[in-house]
Amino acid sequence: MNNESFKRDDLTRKILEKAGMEQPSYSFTSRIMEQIRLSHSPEVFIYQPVIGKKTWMLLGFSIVSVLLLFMNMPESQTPGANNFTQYLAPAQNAMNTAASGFFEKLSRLHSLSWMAFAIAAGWLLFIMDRVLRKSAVVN
Amino acid sequence: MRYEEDNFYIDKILKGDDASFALLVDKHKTMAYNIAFRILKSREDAEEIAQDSFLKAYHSLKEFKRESKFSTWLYRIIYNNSISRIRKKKLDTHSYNDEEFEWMEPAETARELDKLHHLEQKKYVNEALDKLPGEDATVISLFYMNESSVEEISEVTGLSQSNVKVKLHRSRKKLYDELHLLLKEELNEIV
Repeated sequence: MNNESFKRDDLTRKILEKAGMEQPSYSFTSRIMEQIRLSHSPEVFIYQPVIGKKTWMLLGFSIVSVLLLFMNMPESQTPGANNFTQYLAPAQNAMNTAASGFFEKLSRLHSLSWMAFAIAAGWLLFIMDRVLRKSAVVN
Repeated sequence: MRYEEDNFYIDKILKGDDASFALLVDKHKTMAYNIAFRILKSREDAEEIAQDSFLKAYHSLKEFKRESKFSTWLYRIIYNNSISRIRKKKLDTHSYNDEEFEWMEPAETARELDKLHHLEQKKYVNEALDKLPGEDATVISLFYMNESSVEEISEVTGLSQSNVKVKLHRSRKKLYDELHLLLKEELNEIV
């Protein structure tokens, strides 16, 4: 470094000293430390119902509407009503049979296969619930 | 406040003492913020980048191999983050033509500056620094304000040592030219 260059170096230093350093905000350090504190806290999971409130209401409203429609509709004004009851009849019979069968089977609850089936179904429902809830996680 | 060596705090942080990181931040925040500010030319952006960089340094502290100074390692993170931000924003750094200004004797500029009030001196020097391209302003700030060596600046900026020397020489010239121009404008306004 020659003499002129050194002189200029000294001048630059003096000039920059006049400028001083820019200062960050007063809360600079505390905000960093807050971020660090937050990064250590465990993640918060908020579980949301798989089927939302609105969907439930819509489903309920639809079912009630359909039932009311059929209950209040005169038989003469419902084209194919006979056909409809005709289709319902086997289902109704099947339900009756199932109900009577159910009560019969209730008396045979000691049967191991039924118990195993109930436990398996219970577990399946539990696992399905966990999977569906996890897929609906909101951070 | 008198601070300990950086390694003293780093050892404590690695053992789980987060409060030591606050001291490390306090020790280096001014220069860290100035590097970001000189590049980004915005207080808000500089504050955000400097804070993000400190957080990044905290989370990567285990990877710091202590081959260089902690400050050099930290300033490099800040420098790279600031350059990335400026590229994202596509902000064009001030292009400077060496032939743009007449060459003035630095001592004369310094004398002109001495005539001004302290606050005005600060204002003009900062304005001149703002007009320099970010890289130049950072190199000059690190060298003269932080007393970093050419080798350290080379590590921070990724420039070769000879390039840092050339940049230092040119940045000084640009600073004087900008300062001279600002002082000339001020003089014209008064007259």
